Amino acid sequence: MKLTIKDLTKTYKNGVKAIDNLNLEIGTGMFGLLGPNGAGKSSLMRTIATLQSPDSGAIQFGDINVLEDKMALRKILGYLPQSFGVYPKMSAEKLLDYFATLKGVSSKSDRAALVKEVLEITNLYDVRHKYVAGYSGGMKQRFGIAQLLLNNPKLIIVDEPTAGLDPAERHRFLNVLREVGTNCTVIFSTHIVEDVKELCNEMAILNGGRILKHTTPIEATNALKGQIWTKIIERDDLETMEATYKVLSSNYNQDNTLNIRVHALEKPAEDFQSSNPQLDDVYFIALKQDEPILA
Amino acid sequence: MFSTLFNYELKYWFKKPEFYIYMAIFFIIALFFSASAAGIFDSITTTTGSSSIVNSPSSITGLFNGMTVLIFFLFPSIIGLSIYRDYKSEMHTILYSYPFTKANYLFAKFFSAIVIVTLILFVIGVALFIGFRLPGTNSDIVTAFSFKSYYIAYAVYILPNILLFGAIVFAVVTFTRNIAAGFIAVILLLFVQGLMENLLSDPDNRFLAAMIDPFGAAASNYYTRYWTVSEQNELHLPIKGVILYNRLLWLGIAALVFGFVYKFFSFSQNAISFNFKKSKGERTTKSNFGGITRINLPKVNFDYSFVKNLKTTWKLSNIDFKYIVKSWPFLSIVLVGLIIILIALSEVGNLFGTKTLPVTWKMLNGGAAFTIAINICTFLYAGMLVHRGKIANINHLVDVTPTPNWTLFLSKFMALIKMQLVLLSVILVSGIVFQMYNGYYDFELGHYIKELFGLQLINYVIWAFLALFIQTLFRNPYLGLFVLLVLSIGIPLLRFAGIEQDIFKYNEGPGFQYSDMNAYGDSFSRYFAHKLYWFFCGLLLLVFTALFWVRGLPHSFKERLFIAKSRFKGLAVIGFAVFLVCFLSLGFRIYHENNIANERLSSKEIELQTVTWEKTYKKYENSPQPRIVSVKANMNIYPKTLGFEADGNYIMVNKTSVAIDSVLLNYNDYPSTFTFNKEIDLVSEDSIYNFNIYKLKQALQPGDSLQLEFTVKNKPNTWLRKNSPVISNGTFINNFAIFPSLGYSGGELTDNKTREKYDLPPNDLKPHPSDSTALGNTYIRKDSDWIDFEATVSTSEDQIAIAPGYLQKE
Ligand SMILES: Nc1ncnc2c1ncn2[C@@H]1O[C@H](COP(=O)(O)OP(=O)(O)OP(=O)(O)O)[C@@H](O)[C@H]1O
Ligand SMILES: [Mg+2]
Repeated sequence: MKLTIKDLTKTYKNGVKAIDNLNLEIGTGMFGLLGPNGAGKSSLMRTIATLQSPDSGAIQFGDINVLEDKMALRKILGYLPQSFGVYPKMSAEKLLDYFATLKGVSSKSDRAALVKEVLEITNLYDVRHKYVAGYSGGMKQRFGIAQLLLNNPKLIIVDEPTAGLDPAERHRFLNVLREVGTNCTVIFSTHIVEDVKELCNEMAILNGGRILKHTTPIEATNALKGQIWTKIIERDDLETMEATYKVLSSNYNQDNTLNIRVHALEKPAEDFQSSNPQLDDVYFIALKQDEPILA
Repeated sequence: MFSTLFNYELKYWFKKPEFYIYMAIFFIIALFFSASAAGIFDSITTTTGSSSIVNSPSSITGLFNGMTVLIFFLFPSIIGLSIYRDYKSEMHTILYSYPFTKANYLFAKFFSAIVIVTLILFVIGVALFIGFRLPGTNSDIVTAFSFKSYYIAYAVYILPNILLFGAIVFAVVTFTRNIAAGFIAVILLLFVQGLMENLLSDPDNRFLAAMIDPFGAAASNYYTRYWTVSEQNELHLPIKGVILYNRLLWLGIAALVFGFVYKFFSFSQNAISFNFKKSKGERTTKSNFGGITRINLPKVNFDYSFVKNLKTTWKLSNIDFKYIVKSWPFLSIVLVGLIIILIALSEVGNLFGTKTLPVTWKMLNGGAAFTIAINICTFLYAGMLVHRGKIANINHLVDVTPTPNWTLFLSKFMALIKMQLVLLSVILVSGIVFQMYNGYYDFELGHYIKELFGLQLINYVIWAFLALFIQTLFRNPYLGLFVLLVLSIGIPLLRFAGIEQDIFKYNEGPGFQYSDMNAYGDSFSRYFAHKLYWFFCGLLLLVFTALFWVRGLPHSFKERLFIAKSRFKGLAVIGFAVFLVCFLSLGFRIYHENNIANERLSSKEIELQTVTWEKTYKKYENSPQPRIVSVKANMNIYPKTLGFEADGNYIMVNKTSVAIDSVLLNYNDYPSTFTFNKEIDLVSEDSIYNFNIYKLKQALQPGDSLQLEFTVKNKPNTWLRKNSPVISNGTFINNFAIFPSLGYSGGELTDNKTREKYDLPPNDLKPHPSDSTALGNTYIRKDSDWIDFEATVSTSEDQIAIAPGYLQKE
């Protein structure tokens, strides 16, 4: 099923235009949404998840007109917001049972089986009797994932799900996503470029409410072959470098020198070395191009 | 550091719309009270006549203090919130690591909140000042502005009170991190205060009562008790003796409470909790290996049908209900309510010192002490439930599920009703416990159930409709709670503004009376007609709740209106139309009965009629009249149809020394006929005052007699109105109520200020002890002395007829 977003615009009361005439088509599989803080990722996801209405535009998922028929979408939607809380004094098992009821599972035994399964998938089965409010950040995140799976969703929207997960859980989670994402649409936002590289067959870079780039990770890096250059410089030289070249990123080395990456079609100078393009480079190039040009 | 924090807090409040809403509400309330005390509604309702000055120092203290009690209900959301906010926004984890001292932090928080409260109080003061002087008020009862009265009221009474209650609420919220707890604390304090006042009402305890009344009212009463009206009007309240001790005592307690907070407050990150079962600490690890490669969710049935949603509604309401009954604010209300009821019951069994049996209806009357608690719980928990998801920040997870809005809000409504059922059961249980304690075992369970879960429940359900709607409309549950409190207190007071008919005031209507002889009698149908009427209004509010229910991100009000409009289609329109038609037609039926089919007089009209009555007929007050010497009456009572038919015969004798040529007949508002045995002309018939003047063709000479035959019966009853004093079991009829009398019957305005307004001379209520005309009358009536009396009474077979005298034949 395909998710189509047309001319979507959303302006908040405070005057922030969080989504700016956005067009996007997302097919089956994993879709990564990259963007800096405040880019509008959460706003976009909340709009798709029927939590807020846009000022204008249309959203279509398969044959569901999302803005008109919110209930139809909710039946097949799994959504995990960036931050959420839970009712105090309720165990994971009770809360999941509660969500299963809300999601339309009417038989008690069905609910029990379903809850047991999602608890196992998210590795929470051992702590199922503990209050969720007392969970650690990562455990709570996993609980969020568990509740999302309950209605066997066709469209999954997860907002920075890997934030706060330890490496083991992150892998586990990405595996779960990949597994459920084989025959449905998964949109997930992140700051971790690594996640996208590992997982997504498609990605988009969002900034200021606009899509800057919509590609696949492999295509994007391939397109940059031979255009990324690195050099080790002294700290004090950074400013001149930034003035002269398109510096994408700079990292400290152990000895307090800097390792800079530069984007250029040709080798910028003799002392630059060619480097394999990374997804990070794609991200920074896109953002660089979006920067307002200072006069 | 103190001033930084302090200023920050103030700025925070100045930016909050709530602050201005609170000020506006109090401004309006204070204006309403002061203006209506000063008689601004005199033109539409009864005259507020009195010889006491409404803005005298003692009245201002009283009014101002009364308003302050209302402000106490805001304390949790002003004083409590100041510290709670830092927990809620999890700012405390950051804030508490900043370099300010505990004293800085606590004092800044507390005193900034006190300043905010004082500002609201200032607005009240201004509103009182303006209200007394609004155009249309009666300048006779308002005196010149005296700053000192306001100042003393504030400095001596109000400020110590807000410091005391503020400190207590501050303490409770700080240590529980729960605003509702602060709210419950206020209610409990007010309960306890009322209780002590009751227990110490004995005159012997006056000094003690004056000392320990936290409001200081008993202390000032200690001195002003015997003040004359003119002293009350002019003197400032004294500041001496027990008033000073009382104020110092409570200020000291406030300081102690605050000191307590200071001592035990720590910038720790967890709320104090009481752990009865200390569980052993355990090292926990999780399994870090073994990933997932296949996901096989079990095949389950998804059901989105209406029936399934109904079931979900029920299930969700159980979850919400459990949340309420497990929350300790609720438990403490139940506990205290139980104590209050038991105390109230022990008073009920005592009728002017005579012990009476603890029968069920008395137990139910005693349970009325619990009414406020049930209403407050309804208002509070409506807010807690509506906003529960948002408070827990779980609302986005809930809102994206395919559960329709109606399931969500209906489940909360049902949870509220279940809570009300529990609270009503508390009355039942305490009633029965009290009966058992007194060795009375005739429990009348049916009566308990019928009254509590039938008659009373519907009343609370109607409030629940309103509570759910208001709490949906407002984003802040404590603001919603406050608005609901103001509404529930203010609606009955609308009568002072000339809104007198029940059908214009939410959930108002005639009450019901129970007696062991007559059960609920005919009060039942009128009560239910009104409750049904308001129930339809409640259903309308439920439709509005559906329209304004928030799903997803909070919206601006404009957006909510837009969403509401877009939701107004299909079932919502049908429901709205049906409920509106039911509501309006029932309302019109009641209106018709009270205004068109029968004449309804507003209090203002009654007052004017009384004036006209006196002006027209007072001149006959001393006209000589014959006196009744013998009465024969036939009284037929019909307990089945609640009607009566009577006829009678008066023999009247001219006992004066002059000839009497006219008879003044004063009768009741029932269809009646009168025939005299002498030739007589009806010269004036007045169907408003039911006062006829007859002129005898030949004057009645001293010693002559005259006979009057009359019949009287009631107008037919309808289900909304009863036109007779007959009840189905145990009718008691006084001859005044249905039989005619002779002469001008008095019934004048009594207040001299009001009389002055209508150009009436000051009244002379009490005749002089040597007034010979007055001495010529018994205390009962002016138109007869000892008489011959004969009565025939008929009634249903299962009734026993009783009349004065000796039974001749049965
Ligand atoms: N409820 C709201 N009211 C007003 N402005 C908002 C609201 N939510 C978001 N914004 C603004 O909209 C813009 C986009 O915010 P959004 O949360 O969508 O960004 P994001 O890409 O998810 O950022 P992050 O990576 O930090 O989560 C920001 O400027 C933010 O301040
Ligand atoms: Mg975000």
